[in-house]
Amino acid sequence: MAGPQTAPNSSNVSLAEIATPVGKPKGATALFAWRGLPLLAARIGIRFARMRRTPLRIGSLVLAIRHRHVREVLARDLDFRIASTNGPRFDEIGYHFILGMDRSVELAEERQALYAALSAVKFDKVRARTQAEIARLLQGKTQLDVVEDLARPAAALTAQQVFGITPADQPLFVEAIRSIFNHCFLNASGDAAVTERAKRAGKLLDGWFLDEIGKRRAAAPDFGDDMMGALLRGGASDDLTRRTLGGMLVGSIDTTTTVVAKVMSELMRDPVLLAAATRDADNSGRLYGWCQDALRRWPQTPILGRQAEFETELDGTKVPAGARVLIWTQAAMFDASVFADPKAMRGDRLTGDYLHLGGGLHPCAGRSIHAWQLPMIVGALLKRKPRKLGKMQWAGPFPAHLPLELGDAA
Amino acid sequence: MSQVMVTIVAPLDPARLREAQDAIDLLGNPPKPEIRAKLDLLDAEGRGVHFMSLHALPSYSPGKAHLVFEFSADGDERRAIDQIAAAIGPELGSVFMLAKDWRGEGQIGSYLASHSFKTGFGLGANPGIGHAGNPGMTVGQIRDEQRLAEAVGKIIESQPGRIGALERLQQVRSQLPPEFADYLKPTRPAAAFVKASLPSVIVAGIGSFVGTYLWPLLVLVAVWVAALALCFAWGESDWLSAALAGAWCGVKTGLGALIIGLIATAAVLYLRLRRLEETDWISSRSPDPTTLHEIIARENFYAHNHMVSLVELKGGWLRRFTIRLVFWAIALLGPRLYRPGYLSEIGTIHFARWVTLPGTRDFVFFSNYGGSWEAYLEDFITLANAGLTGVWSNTVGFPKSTNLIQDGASDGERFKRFARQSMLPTRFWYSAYPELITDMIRANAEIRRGLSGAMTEDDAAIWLSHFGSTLRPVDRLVTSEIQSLLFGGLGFLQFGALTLWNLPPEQAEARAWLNEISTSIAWGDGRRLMDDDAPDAVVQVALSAPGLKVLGLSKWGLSTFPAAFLDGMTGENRDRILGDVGANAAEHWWWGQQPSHVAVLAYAATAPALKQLLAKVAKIGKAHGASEVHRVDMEQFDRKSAVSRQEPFGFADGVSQPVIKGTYKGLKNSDPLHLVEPGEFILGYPDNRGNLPPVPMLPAIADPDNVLPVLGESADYSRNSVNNLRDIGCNGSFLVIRQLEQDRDAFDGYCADEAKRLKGRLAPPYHVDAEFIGAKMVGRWKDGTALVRAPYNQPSTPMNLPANDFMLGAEDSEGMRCPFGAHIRRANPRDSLNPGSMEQVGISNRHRLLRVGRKYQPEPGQKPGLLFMSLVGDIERQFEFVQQTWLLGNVISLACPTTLSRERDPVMSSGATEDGGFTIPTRDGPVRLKPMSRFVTTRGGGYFFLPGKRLIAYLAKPR
Repeated sequence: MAGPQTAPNSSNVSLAEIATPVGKPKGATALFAWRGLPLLAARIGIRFARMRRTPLRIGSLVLAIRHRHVREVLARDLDFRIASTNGPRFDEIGYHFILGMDRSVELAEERQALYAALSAVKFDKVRARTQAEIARLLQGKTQLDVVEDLARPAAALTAQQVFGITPADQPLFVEAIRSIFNHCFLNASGDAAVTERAKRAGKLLDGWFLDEIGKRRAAAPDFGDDMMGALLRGGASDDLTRRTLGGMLVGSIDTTTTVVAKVMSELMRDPVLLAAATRDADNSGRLYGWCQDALRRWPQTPILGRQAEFETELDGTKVPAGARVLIWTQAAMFDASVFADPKAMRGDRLTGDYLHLGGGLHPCAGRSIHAWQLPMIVGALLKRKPRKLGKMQWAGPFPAHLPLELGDAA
Repeated sequence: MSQVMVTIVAPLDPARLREAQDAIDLLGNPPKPEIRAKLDLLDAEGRGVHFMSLHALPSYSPGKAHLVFEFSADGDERRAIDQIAAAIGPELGSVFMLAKDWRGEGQIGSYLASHSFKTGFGLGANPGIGHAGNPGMTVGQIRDEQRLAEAVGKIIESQPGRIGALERLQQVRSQLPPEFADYLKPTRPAAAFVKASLPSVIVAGIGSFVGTYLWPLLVLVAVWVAALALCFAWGESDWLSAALAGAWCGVKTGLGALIIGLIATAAVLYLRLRRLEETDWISSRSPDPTTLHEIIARENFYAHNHMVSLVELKGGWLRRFTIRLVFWAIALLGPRLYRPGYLSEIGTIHFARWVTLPGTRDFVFFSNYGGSWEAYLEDFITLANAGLTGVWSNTVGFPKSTNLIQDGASDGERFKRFARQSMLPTRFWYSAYPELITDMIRANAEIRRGLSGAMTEDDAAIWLSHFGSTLRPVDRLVTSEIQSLLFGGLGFLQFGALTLWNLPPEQAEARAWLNEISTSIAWGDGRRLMDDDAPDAVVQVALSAPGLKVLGLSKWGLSTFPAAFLDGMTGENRDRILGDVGANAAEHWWWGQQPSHVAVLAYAATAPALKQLLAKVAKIGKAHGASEVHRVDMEQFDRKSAVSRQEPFGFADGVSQPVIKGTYKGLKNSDPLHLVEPGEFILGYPDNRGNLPPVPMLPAIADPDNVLPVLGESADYSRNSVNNLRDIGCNGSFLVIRQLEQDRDAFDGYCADEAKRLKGRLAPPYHVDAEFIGAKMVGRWKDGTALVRAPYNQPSTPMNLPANDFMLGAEDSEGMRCPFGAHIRRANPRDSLNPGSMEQVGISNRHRLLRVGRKYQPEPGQKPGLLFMSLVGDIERQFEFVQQTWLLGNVISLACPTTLSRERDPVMSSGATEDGGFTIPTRDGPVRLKPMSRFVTTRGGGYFFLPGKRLIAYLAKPR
């Protein structure tokens, strides 16, 4: 996939041109913002699926609802492909990325480059700096907007440290990332405006990346100790570096922001859960467990999509070639055969059973960062004794504002 | 892509049979080159004809004969017929013009299409069924993949040695000729197959049986239900309720009658079948020599062969039903129980079909099978005789069968004679890929899949196995990735030393040190080190938990190691488990109070070689900032010398050792008393219970190069595994090291004193002397002879081999020969807890230790002793259990008399005053030895992990 040859001028693009407008999501995108109805549907859906035993097929649509069926679809990536679902979205904005590729030599090589670079990052330093920033952002506050005052800037800081890109215009940067994320993962209804914003944002991102890559190459062999430095040190081309970091970056900030907002909403809705999570506020592993379990009620992405490449079978159900396969991850996370007493909230379930971050060949590449970043932000809030949560406002499928009153300003 | 198996049957005047056979002969088997050339052509999508044969067959029905043309092709039937007609229409026309109903059609294609003949197993169908060995594969795909496999094979042949499988694969990918570029893209996975469960087969079977055979009866029941509903409702004011009541009555009576009728019918059918089976004629005919000659003249030109067999179906309605029933069962069970392309366990058939010719009892079998006829029939006889008997027991002359599917074909030689005499020469036969057999086609498909789909070292190793090897069974040791110490104590390298190291705090330097030292590690069965060109000095490297941490193993990964290993030998509270209290306490040790990072065990054939090796190790350490913490020199070990094999008290050591299945020793020594599964000592393999023990792990994200073994990998790339957890324990083992100082003077003095004290206590045949006392305490005489075999005296002439094949419980259930408290009985009670029970031996074997220690060279002021080293799969279950429970623990757990309850192992005794001495049971009552002083003192030790090759490579790689 050829990359851009020149860096576009970011000053030509205004914030308004790429920002996701504030307002409730519409159409199919609303699925990401609703809570009650999808939760009810998931609980009913999994009961139905457990009674039925085999996956449900309606024409050329197959529903994988049971946990083992979801796992099966994700594991059989050559039967149930992702490229036709995700690939065009990434390619449209010039960010051909592994999450849009099926298993091939190209995927194997680019995946290896990504993970090698990721494993070269000194995360102790990143964590310490993010932790300090979270403390600074909370300093002296008794009222804050969980999204704009804490989660988004903290996630952006982590992303910048890990991926190595720090544009001067921070608001433009985070909005560009949000636009691209919206287009790549959440634009279920194919809203043309979303696509247009993402294309503009993609060009901005190109400019920032190529600018930074140029600087790093000029400073060789001191490429830096972040992912960008590791990629360049490892011999990655400018194009591969840009696409790899872009793909990672897109999924980093708004995933964290959305998840923090949803976790806090769930905790504040359920005093028992809040008390339990607060007890583990200093135990990152345990708190992550509570967050994961709370997210079953309101996951970031309740459904994933795949497409059957060939005629095949899924636990006795015939799947015709070309069939759409909907993976109902939220329902699967209420499957009593895996999540004992699924209605109950527990912090000690096996983390490998959750499906919040996908799975199979294409789990979220930033899952290891997510595992410490989420409890770090949520834990910081819990330790300030959250008292009252305001109403969540939306910017399309993203939480835009979430006021929270804290009991402890220390 | 679909495949189609087409059978075309045309009537033939029996008088023209010879003429037709001659006409077919002109096409040839093997086919004429010009015919082959035409049939070899494929369409744009690579579709063609896989196999084709043409026959002029006589009939068992008077006045009948047939032209039978069968082929297996890609795509649908009409397309295949058109392709064939376009290719060899005139040639086929020259044969079919002899058919009775040939009207001089200009279009051979339409004639063939109009004579296509279908089989099935339903009530009205002509009985028959087909089987494809490589379903879904086109001729083009099969040929292309063969070319690809050959091209890849050449690249692999040109590669250097000593590179990993994944690197090898990556090189192939980069060197692949451009014409194969498409094979690097996503490919089609192997067909999904999961063996069906019994309940699901039963449910599917009932549904299918009802739909296939019972539907007429269900129609009758429905009519009956409707009739009763009508009768009940007739003239009633509340007609609906009455009709419902009538229908319900009809359902109950109709289904009841049906079920009773079916049971009764099944019973009658079975009895009838059994009677027929008793009285059916069995052929003893031999094959006609002329026909046989004609058959053989057309066989064995290719990697596969073709056969056609014509037999007569047995007469009668019952046999007409049972032949259909068997085909129904094959169609039901085949796809549910066996892998795609396999008929039962037989995978050598390309295409095969059974056909009953219309309006006759002529039963024809066509098969395109790999290898020779003899091998093919043997496969059937040994692997699929039930199915084979089920089908052919319905034909005249078949060997005697029972219950439809039993006996029959298992009478191999008679069956083969029956099969041969039923065969006819195949006069025209075409194969699209004469040099290939089904397994090669499958392997080529896997090579293609792996080329783009393999992502990990494990995937790549599986991929390489398709080039002339096969998949590794799960319990088969990967010896090349296991350090040699696990295959024995490297006894042929007489000189050795243990050096303990702390690594530099900088991870990069620590890794560089490991990388450099790893070039001297010996892998695999130690016997290879005896080769002339093998190095005469090698090291074994074991890492402690702190060592793994310094080398950069993540906190998460480290936490998956067992607690005992993480705590270390001197961890909090471990002293009470191990008996490291008092004089044994770590504070008195010479080394090991703080765990060292690495234990480097150096072995060499000569003293100068060892010196040189140690200098090299020291140089590497210095170069990378590693510091040597301690060194223990081992005594020269000559395994041929009895003295060298004695431990410091003078007893033969290392007599009883567990033997790991799959090692050279395991293959040589199959004594079940000592044979244990690899998983008892080596991580990543099944243990004695058949389970894969838990292993230390890492998340996939920590292994970006995908070099570590993957948990739960797929063998055919149909499922991805690259994000699975990594098994970092694989091919590794835990190494327990203890330096044990032995006080021989104290031991000898104690034995002498007790012998003197007890001199008159026991009458002959006992002869109480110091040797006797020592032997009772140890459980063996000094030459290694077991007390259970020689309870009174050490034999004057040593036994040929120190006996180790004894059962302590069965041979000495009361402990009269070998006391319950004796050292060897405590260390390995064998069947003591349940005399004679091999299950109990198995339980005891779960606690065995693989000892690889040697005597150490004492420094001035030190007493001699053992550098005890033991390899275990589980420190707590094996070493600590034996130490705590069997050697030093409450002997009630040995089901011993409670009077022994204050005793400890007499050799390892702590010397504490609360120790209650030692009991020697005799026929003259128990003889009690006085509490003994300390004979053995722990002077150092630690828990280490002896990693497999891949973990070493992972930890040694710079980041």
